Amino acid sequence: MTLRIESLTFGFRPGKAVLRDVSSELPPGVNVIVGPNGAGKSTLLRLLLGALRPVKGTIIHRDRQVHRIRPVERARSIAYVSQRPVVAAAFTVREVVRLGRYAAGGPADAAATERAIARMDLAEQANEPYGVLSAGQQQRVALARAIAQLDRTASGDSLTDPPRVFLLDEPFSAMDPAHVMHAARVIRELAEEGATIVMVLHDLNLARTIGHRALLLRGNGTLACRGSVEECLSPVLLEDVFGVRFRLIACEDAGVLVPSVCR
Amino acid sequence: MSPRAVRSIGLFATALLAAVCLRVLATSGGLELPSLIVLRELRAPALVSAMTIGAALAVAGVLLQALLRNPLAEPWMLGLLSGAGFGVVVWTLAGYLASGAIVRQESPVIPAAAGAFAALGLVYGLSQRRGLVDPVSLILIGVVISVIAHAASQFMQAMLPDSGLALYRRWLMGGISADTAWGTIGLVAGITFACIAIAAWLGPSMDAASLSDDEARSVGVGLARLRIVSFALAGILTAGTVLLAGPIGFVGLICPHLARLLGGPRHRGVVIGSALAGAALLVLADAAAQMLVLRSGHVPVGVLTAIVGGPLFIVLLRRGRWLA
Repeated sequence: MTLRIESLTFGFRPGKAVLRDVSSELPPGVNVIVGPNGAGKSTLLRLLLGALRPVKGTIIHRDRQVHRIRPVERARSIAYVSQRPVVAAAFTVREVVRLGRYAAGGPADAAATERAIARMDLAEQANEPYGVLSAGQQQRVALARAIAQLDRTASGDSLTDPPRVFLLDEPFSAMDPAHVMHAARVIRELAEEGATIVMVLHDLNLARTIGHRALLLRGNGTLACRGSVEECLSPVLLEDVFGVRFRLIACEDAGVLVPSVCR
Repeated sequence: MSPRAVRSIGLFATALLAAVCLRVLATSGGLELPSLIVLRELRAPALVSAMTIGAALAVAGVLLQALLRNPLAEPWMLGLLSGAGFGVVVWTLAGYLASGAIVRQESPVIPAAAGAFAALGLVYGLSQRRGLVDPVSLILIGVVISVIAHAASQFMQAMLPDSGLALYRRWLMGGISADTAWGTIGLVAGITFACIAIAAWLGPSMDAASLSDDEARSVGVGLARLRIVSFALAGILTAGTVLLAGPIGFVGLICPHLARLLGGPRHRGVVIGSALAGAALLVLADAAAQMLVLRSGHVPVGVLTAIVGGPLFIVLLRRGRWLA
């Protein structure tokens, strides 16, 4: 198993747990994390990255506790995109994408950078200063940086050994619909190549469309459901978690979830 | 390194060479070929001091700006220089109270470095709120700490006899003197060179650390270690400059911005470019200070750098999105 959460409890202050006794396996494929604001979704991603240390329980990545793995080594298998990407220097788009190659640092870097730029459809912006891009474009750059980080083509390494994990915190929140669909397709492709995607999403329909499995967190940081997206993102469970009624409307061969405003 | 960065480094090196030539020829009110004795006894120590101080301040500025993700960070504004001066005064006063006499120590590196570290630690700690550092309040706190350290230094000096006052005044004024012992100059120059080499080696890590903390960790940066090393290097570099010349402001602000403007934002180029630009700037300022004779004598170099650097600081502050 690439990534496994075992009885994880975490809080920033003693006595105030953000996540309580969460356990789940995160197999290859697209794992979406869904839940109300403040349920600990972003905190869970940071724990999976190893940036935070669990108060109780563990997160196991390749038979080791993830926060004990050295950053340079961890960077070869786990990439992370934060909710609000920050770049505090006047880099071009290409330079930002190349920052993903920090740990790899070799002759393959340039080619990996160009492949990631092409994959996120950023060739036209590659020489522009990152700072002038819109928030949605910056999110695409952050995804490209993560893809460049775990690029295995140039070195001829296997796509699945060591396994590739992408931790994505609301990666589409500022993108327009066309770019959401493009980015979602790229993420599905990564999953088909054997990568493990763990992604926080607020758009329930997007979660149902591109997710294979879901973790549904309650507002108090406990796990309400882990399983397939159909199972976890059902109107009954969602009402229990969000306190709002949902309807599932038939739409071609799938369904569309809409929060119900009717009484 | 990019061709642009290499070109800018070449340019700064040429500027340094020109500044050195000017400084060798500069005398009160004009230019003149110096005698061999003047060259060896007066010009050479002042030149090496000026180059060391300029390079050290500029690179300390680069490190602080990267460490704090704050383009306005600079050793003087953050209280490091006053802190180092304060460390030296405390050391002297403690020695005086213990032995009843002023003990002249040629290079009190450790007290100066301790003072610089204390000031930086205090400023960094006080400007954090829930782990976030606001760029402008950081500078405000730095300036206030600087004023406090400066005032405390003057207070403690008043407790020393006259000979002590004269001895340590230069550490509060900011000027390059030709009578610094070669031992001190050599020590500080050596330490400075080593620190700059380490800073240049850290360039790619500083590049990646411009991402948010978690993203920087995710691409493989050992952020805690990088911060401790940057912090230590900035403190040591700053302490060295205080030992040679006292507080000199704004070199650490002007040079990194100049180096980024001409050579691009990647830190390895910025470190090397800034070091050369800082050396050139301070040698140039020292030459100007030599040639400019006013009614009451020479103007300290620190005064000239502040006159040039202060307005630039305001321009950068008003531009708002400083680095974008």
